[in-house]
Order: sequence, then structure tokens, then C-alpha cells
Amino acid sequence: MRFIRLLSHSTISRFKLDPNYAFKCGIEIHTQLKTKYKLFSLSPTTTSSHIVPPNSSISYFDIGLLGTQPKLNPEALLLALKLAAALGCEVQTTSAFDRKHYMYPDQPLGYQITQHYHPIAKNGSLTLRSGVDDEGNYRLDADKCINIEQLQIEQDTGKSIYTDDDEIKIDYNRANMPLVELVTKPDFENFTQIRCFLRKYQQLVKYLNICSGDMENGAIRVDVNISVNGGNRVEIKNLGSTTEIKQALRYEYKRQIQLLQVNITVSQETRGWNGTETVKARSKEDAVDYRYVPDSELSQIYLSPTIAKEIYDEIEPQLPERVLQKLVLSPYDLEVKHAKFLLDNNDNVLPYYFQLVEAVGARDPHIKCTTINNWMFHEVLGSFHKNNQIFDINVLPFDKLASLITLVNGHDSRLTLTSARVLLTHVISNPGDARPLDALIEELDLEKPRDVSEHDILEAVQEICLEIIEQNPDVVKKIRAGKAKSINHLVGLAMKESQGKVKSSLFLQTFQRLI
Amino acid sequence: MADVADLIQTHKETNDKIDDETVNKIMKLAALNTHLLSESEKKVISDGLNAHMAFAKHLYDESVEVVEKEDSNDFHFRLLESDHKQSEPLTLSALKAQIEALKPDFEKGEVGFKANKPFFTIKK
Repeated sequence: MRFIRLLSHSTISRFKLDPNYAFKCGIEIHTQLKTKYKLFSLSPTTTSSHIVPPNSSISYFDIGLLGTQPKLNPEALLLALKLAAALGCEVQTTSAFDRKHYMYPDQPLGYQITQHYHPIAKNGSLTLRSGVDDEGNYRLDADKCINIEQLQIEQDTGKSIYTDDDEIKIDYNRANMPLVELVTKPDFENFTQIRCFLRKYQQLVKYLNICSGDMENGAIRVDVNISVNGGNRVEIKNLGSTTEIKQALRYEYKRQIQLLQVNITVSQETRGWNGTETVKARSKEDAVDYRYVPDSELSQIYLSPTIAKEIYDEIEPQLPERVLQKLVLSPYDLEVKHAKFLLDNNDNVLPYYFQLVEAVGARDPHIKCTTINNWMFHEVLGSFHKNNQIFDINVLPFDKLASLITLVNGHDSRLTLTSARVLLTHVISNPGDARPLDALIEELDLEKPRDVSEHDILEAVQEICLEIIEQNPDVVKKIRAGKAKSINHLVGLAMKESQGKVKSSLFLQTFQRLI
Repeated sequence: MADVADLIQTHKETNDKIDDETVNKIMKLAALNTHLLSESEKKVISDGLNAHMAFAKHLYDESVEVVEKEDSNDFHFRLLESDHKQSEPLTLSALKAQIEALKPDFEKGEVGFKANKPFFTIKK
């Protein structure tokens, strides 16, 4: 399970725009759908996270054997419709598949089955909200609506591996994997918007279980179209990470400015990114003639006019924006960054959080969510981090944490915060120790003194404080000279002496009174 | 009835010819390398394609100007029942039922089929 740092700061240098050269960009995102089977056959899907031998997850159709025919996998259709509904697209009640012809070894049919004339959905949008959809150092100046041209369902290709022996090895495991291609309008005005959009999109597809959202392993691939000052657009293909996208756009933006500065028209062309620069792949004149024709073996898709609404009604409560809204409002009252952290870990940490809140409420309904949130995001995550471990819900099940919170903040508080931290550290450092908290409290002698009168406690506190004052004359001198914060050192010594069984605030008050 | 030889001869006299650039483009689309061809081989291909054009033109009414557009490919007739007899529109419940009923078919190589070598290999 991945622990995502709450505050991640990119050290990549900023992509600065020249106000005299307007940046305009649209993107095309290819998203691998998380289906059990492939798009037009029922061979199993694999992703890069699955280690399978090459050419072991294929069917006769996937490798284009003669006599095979495509048949649409309805699960791919459902996931595409979910995405369309989530993006507010107009789902087309009639859509169809077409053949895009080109010859390449990783395309065994000699054409890709796609949706050129009648895509599954059109005209959606995704709005970026300033203050909510920011990404690390990338802060949106204002809300921005990115319009979506269309969504289309299409096949993925196989993988080509180029060897030093002048051979091309082809692995068809990826051939016929289901993809959705999303095409935006050229609404992006800067890289910050692109970065935030991609992050929000990744979160959406992960959250709805449409896609793994993993750019690094190729589940999401991006092409960008960039123009400067309204000139011809240049397409940059196959960018596999946000770093590559930023670097490629920065390079291409500068390249186009340099051309414009010497009055050379930017050519409309397709370029690739080689890690250092964009390089020409083909120009408009060399454009491939794809000879699109409707696929003669696939029926058109006829959908009920109400299907989009039905799907939207099903997914709406689970949409990340709705969940985020729920988390930042009462009763949860989470900070936006913490709510986003939960969304990013929606498969394990988010349900854990909800279960934790419910469990604490069942034990002591007076404990506020803000207290639970402080435990979750500061004490617990901080403690795991200090122990160089990632947060693991199996090491600290929600009911155990709920008990711990109740022991400290509940009506019948048995532990001080200091003792609770000691206990927490023990639990995290000893994942194999499944003993209940009561047994650990007893063994570590962490419980607050019970059956001791308040008078006796105050007397003991005074005794400890006087002893510490006597042993630390230099510190006392500093406090009296005006360095008030030095008192915390004395409080720390007292807490150690009392094994954390007495509240630090009591020691603080006593020291202040005595000094 | 037009004589085939006359058709080809007529076509040779028009300006409507397949030139070298078109031959190169067609070869490239078929993933074939044109600069391995000799001049005479290129001419054979060009002549053959020109003959094809003559026949194709003959099939069309020459009084009507045919403007080739990619979009016109969308309206080709397909021998698929669903194009002519529309099925029941797919509802969400029907879609989910289809998903539940999915079962890979051994006869289509969807179960247990693997290539007999690790990779399909192409020598450049």
C-alpha cells in the first residue's frame, strides 16, 4: 500500500510563459480500461503491473488470425459510459466502430478498430477549482473549465521491442486491450492547468475503478497539441509522464517562439519527444491516409436514452468531488489536503477513516471529528513516518485506533497523550504483537494513576517540579530572564519522570506558579 | 459495350494518370519499400494502376463529378442485420446482464492459448 506524502513539493523548475506569446494546448488521453477481458475478444487483460510471459494473454483474434471476428466486450462499454457520465458528456444513443488502416507489426489486423465517425460520447467538461484541485506547487489562479470534444472506444496495439540484432520482437499481450481516447478542446492556457487536469482525471478514473490511473506503466498515455499565438498546432505524441509532458511542452513552446521571432511560420506537424527535444515525425503533407471505413463485422451500438442518467445516478455519490465536499464539511471537517489524501487512497485508507469515525462515535459520541482527524493525520501518520514505515491498516486496525483515541480523549480518560504516543509507537514497531491494548498498557505501565486523590496528585506534581527546579538552575534563570519557552524543557523532564502518566498542562501550570 | 483495350487506350491519352508520387504513396501504405524497385518495375505498377483507374472511371457516371471525401465512407452499405433492423436499445440492466454472462471460448483461443515462441519476430 502506498503512503502518499501529504505535502509533496516538486523541485522541477517552473515553466514560464512569455506574455507576448499566447500558449494554447489541447490534449488527447488514452486510458486503458480496467476490464476482465479485452475489447473484442475474451482473452484476459493484463497491465504492466502483472508479470506475465509475452504472448501468453492472447486469443486468435488478438493476433489477427484469419477467420476470427470481433465481438464487443460489454464491460468495456460500461466503463466507457461511466467515464462519459462522470464527465457530463452527451452519450450518443447510436455509435459505431470504424477501421483506421495502417501497417505496423504491432497492429496484426492491418487496422485499428476505433470510433472515428460516431464516437460513444461528445461535449463534456471537467472543471478545475482553485484551492481544491491544486497540485503541490502548481496553484491554479482561478477556476478553469476544460471542455471535452469527445470520448471514443478503441483497441490498444501490441508492444514492439527493438533489439540490437536488427529485429523487432512483438508482444501481443497488449493488443486489443480496451482504451478510451478522450480529446479535449484547446482550452489549456498554461502547464499548471494541464498538470492539475491530469491529476484530477487520474483520480477520477482510479476512484470509479475505470482505470488503474498509472501513467508510469502506460495505463494512461498522453498526446498534446500546442500552438503559439493562434498559429498552426504541433502534435507531440506518446508522452508517458507529467515530467515528460512539461519538458516537451516547454521545449516546443520555446521552439515555436524562436521560429515566430524570425518570421518563420510554424508547420503543422507531428513530433515526438526524445528526452531532450521534440523531433519531427511527419508533416501535414506526409500525413498517413488512414482510409477510415465502418467496420464491416461490428454492429452499431444502440443505447437506451436513459442509460446515461441511470449510470450517473449510480456513480454520483461516489464521485471524488462529492466525496471531497462531504469530507470538508461537518461532521468530518477535514482540511482539503487531508481529504485529498483520503481520495488518493480511496481503496483502503478512505474506508478505514469512515470506519474509524464510526467506531469512535460508538464508543464515545462526545469525541469530536476534529480530535479524530488530529489523531489520524498527525499522531498516526506521523508515528508511522518516524518509524520509517508506510501506513498499514493491518498493523493498526481501525478499532484498535478507536480504542486508543477513546482511552485518551474519552469521558473516562485513562491515558495521557504522552502515554498514548508510547503505546502507538510500540504497536507500530511490533506488528506481530496482536495483544489487546489493555494488556500492553499494563505491561508498559502507562495508565494514569487511579484511586489517587487529586490532592495527592497535585502534591506529587509539586514535589517533582521542585526537584527539577533544584536540579536545573540555569534553565530557571533563563525563564526568569524572559525566555519563556525554556519552560518546555522542564515540562519534558517532568513528563519523563512521571512516565507520561500526568498531563503536561498540569506540570506547566505548576512550574509557572513556582518559578 | 466498351472494348477493354479502347478503355485503357483512352485512359492513356488523358491527363488523369497515376504518377510516381502516387505509386510511392500506395506502396508505403502497404508497408512496402519503393526504392528497391527498378524503373521498369515502377512503370509496370504505374501502368497496372492506370488500367485499374480506367475501369473504375468507366463504372461511374462520368457526367457526375465525384468528390471524394473521407466522410462519404461513413455511408457505405454494410451487410449487417443491425444496420437495417435496429435491435432493442440497450438498457443498463441488460448491459450488466451481458457482462455477467461473459464466458471465454476455448474454440476462439480465449482460454489457454499461447504462442509457441516467446515473441513474434520481424527481421528488418
